Amino acid sequence: MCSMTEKPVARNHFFTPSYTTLTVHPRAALAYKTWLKFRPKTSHIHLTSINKYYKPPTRIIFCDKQGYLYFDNFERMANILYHEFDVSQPFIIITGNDEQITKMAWADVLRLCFYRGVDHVSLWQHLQKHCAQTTLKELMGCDSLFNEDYCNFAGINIDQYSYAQRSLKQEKQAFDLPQNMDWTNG
Amino acid sequence: MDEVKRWPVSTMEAEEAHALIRQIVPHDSPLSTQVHRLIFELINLSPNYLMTTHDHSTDSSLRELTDDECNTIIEAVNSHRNTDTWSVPYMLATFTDYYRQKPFTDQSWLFLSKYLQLILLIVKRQDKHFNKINKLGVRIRMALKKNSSQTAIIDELIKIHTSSANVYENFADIESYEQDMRHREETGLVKTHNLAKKIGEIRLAYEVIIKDKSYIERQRRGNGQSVTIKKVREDQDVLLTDEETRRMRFPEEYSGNNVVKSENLADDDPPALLDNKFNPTKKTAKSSQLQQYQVKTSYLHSKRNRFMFPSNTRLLTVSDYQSVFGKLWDMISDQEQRVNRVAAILLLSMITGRSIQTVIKEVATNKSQRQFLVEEEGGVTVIRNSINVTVNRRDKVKPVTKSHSHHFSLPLPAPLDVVLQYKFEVEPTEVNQLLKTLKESLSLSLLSNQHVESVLAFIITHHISEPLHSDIITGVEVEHSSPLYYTSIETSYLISTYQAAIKILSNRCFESLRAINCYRTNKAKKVSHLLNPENYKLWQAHKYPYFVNMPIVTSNINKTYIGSEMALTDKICGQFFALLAGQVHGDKQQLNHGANDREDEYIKQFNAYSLWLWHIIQIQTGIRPVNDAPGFLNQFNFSYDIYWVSDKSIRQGKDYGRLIPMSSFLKTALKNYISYIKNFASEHNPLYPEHTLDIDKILQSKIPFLQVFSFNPKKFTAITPKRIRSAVGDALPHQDNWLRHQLRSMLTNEVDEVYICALLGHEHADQEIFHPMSSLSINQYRTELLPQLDRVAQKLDLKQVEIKHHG
Repeated sequence: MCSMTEKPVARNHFFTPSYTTLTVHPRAALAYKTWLKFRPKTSHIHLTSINKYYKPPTRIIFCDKQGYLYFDNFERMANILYHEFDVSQPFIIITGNDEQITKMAWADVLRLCFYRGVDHVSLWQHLQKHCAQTTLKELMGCDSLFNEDYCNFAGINIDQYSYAQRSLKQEKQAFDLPQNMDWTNG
Repeated sequence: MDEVKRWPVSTMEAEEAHALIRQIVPHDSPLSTQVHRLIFELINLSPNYLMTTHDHSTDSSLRELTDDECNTIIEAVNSHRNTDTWSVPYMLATFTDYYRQKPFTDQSWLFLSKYLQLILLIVKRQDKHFNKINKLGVRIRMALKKNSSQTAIIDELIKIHTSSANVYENFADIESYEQDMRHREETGLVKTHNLAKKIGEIRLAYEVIIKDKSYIERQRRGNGQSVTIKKVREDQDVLLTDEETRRMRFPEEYSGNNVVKSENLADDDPPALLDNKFNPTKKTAKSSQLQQYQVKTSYLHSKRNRFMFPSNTRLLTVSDYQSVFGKLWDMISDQEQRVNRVAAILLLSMITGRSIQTVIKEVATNKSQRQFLVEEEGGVTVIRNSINVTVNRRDKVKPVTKSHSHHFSLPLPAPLDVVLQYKFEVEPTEVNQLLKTLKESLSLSLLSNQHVESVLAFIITHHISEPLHSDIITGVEVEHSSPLYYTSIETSYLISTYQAAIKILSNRCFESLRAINCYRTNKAKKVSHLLNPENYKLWQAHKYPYFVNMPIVTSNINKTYIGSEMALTDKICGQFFALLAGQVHGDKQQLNHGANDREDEYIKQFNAYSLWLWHIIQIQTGIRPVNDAPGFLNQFNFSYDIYWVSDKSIRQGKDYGRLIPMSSFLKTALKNYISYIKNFASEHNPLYPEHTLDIDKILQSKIPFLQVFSFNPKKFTAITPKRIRSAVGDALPHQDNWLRHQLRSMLTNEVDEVYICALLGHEHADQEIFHPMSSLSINQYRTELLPQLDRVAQKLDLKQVEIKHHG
């Protein structure tokens, strides 16, 4: 936590991503990887023509001369880097605090469970495995981390969840060729 | 009576013995005191063998090393890596370990006692033979290893030393043991190849002591290292010609694919039919300008010959051949036996395409032993042709191949069948005499036996324009015509080609027959008057059905296809492609990244997609399945629909490759794949920074285009036939290049041979489509083949794989 004397500072800044190095904060790396695995395969909303003063700002942290680090808002950042890398974007530069960064990063991942079509079973497995239990409990606002807690949080039916859990196992091996020539009879 | 030679046993003072032992058991060696004492006691076990010691000490308490002591020694030797200087302690520890159960009076310990005496005497010599002690230790140690082939040595040594206490007899026994072993190794009676050499090392040690041999240092060459000229004969050019002529290439051992070696070699570099063996020595060729000129002209001369231009004066015209055939045909039906047999030889040579020599040999052998003029079950003699292809021994694949045989038969005309009933001998001089007669009577001054032999090939190649059929029908060895390896051809095509050739060849027969019949018998004259030309032909057809409508040969009946047994039926091949495409699961909306990269379905999909595309490229281009095939992205030219490839593993980099048209199916498949890998990289790379897909390098053609993810070690790597084989596994255990066979068989008879050979790189040297002197345009090559390649895709019912992605 920041001490009272060292007040957290935030200042607005505009710059074009293609001229700056923007990378994921190392404290958010694990959450970012999880987010990458479960990112929604949806179309993006085109904001290219929007004036930079109207675009949502992203919080970043100054990291010596190498550039800036971001730690949440992964989807917006992916869109910026993919589609809007050559237009000026609004950023809020803040001083970093590791604990806050990690929490915000996981909060962004946790948001994925509200998306339609997300693989709840795998997502919950990942969260349990990679995210600290205290953080997870705090962000989800619950005392335990059972499947029921997750279903409750995500707003899905526990039966749905169990069904998905069972069918997940069957789909493995689907990409390997069958190791026999029975296909010639078909 | 022979006096048994006795060894002059020397008596050694105990101090001297201890000093010698000290040399083989140094102070710093593990447990040196115990080992030292044990060796000393062991030596005294068999007095008067090689030496005796004056042992003044009274306590001769022989105590073997304990288990722990042995382990300590062995571990210390190994950890200090002192197996050479501590060789004797090491040997002793191993030996004790092995023979612990035996008392010291056992023959094994007595042997060791003698062995140690031998070692000690070698030490005493104080010369370079000292090095042998290490070897002697190694021999015992190795022989005591479990499951070692050398165990026999120590058993035999113990036996030898038990049989006699005389060192000379022991030596003689060891020597004969060595010789016996060498003999057995050389004659292959035993499977090992190194025991004799090892026994020899021991024998040599005895020899040194018994015969007091001095050490002879091995002579070395000047600078201390043996110089062997290791220049591999790679090219053997005909010297001093400006142009590249013939190169002889020797195959490198190439183990990347499972294609049969002979096929690989012939496919890569078929021996040219050109036979210009003249190769002057460097000196001769250099010294004479004239010589140089001659080499070149004789080369060009024989090359032109092979082109068989119609303008070549050495060729006869078809009508010349027809009249020769007609004349011979008359002879076999009319003349006395001697003449008709000689005529039959020439006729057989003409209609089988085999050399006269071969035919003479063939008719002189028993019916049952004949090679190509064989009798079928019904008693009819036929011409049996076999295409000597790589035999498919994969039982699982066999049921679904196109062709199940590489033999087919052609019928023989009845008069020749009669002649062949019995074996007979014909002198080559008689044949030459007949040729001479023919020359004069037909005024064909050029006629030679070569013309007779090549007539069938000439007609099929130049008048029916089926060079491939010509090679098959005339029985050309597969090594001289690599297309034969790949041919799965419909038998009916071959038979109709042969029928057409025989029709051309026998055209003159009808005329001459008519002529004969016209003025010989009045009856025939009358009859022929009554017959109009149409009816006359029918009458001839009735009399000589062979020329007009060949009889069906029973052994061909169930052979729809013959030749390469590698190509699958089109239906099964199509099913295989459908299976590969299905495994990509391109229609799946969402895949699972899984807990780690091993479970990541996106990586699996990538591999399945690459596997499918590799097969698509193979079937659409027919390239050889070499490592890194199909090469780099910039080898595909999407605006000209042309793909450049150099796929010869043997002469890598030396040739300039060839061009292959890109079918529209292949083009779409490649484009889809490129956009897929771009998208894949953007998702995969941030997730796995430790093993990224180097998309930039792929697009810039710095690394091979087609990559596959390998799990051990974890990285993307260029696709190889080996990986393909393991990925496909038992789903289709086949030869790597089977799709080359498949494409070849699907193009055969659909498009001109010239284009197929160009596509597969089976052209003769200097006759390539893309040769600078070629008059054929690349565009024509492309437009001829493109629709055919797309037809192949259509026939196999190939479907594009497409993966939808968002964002």
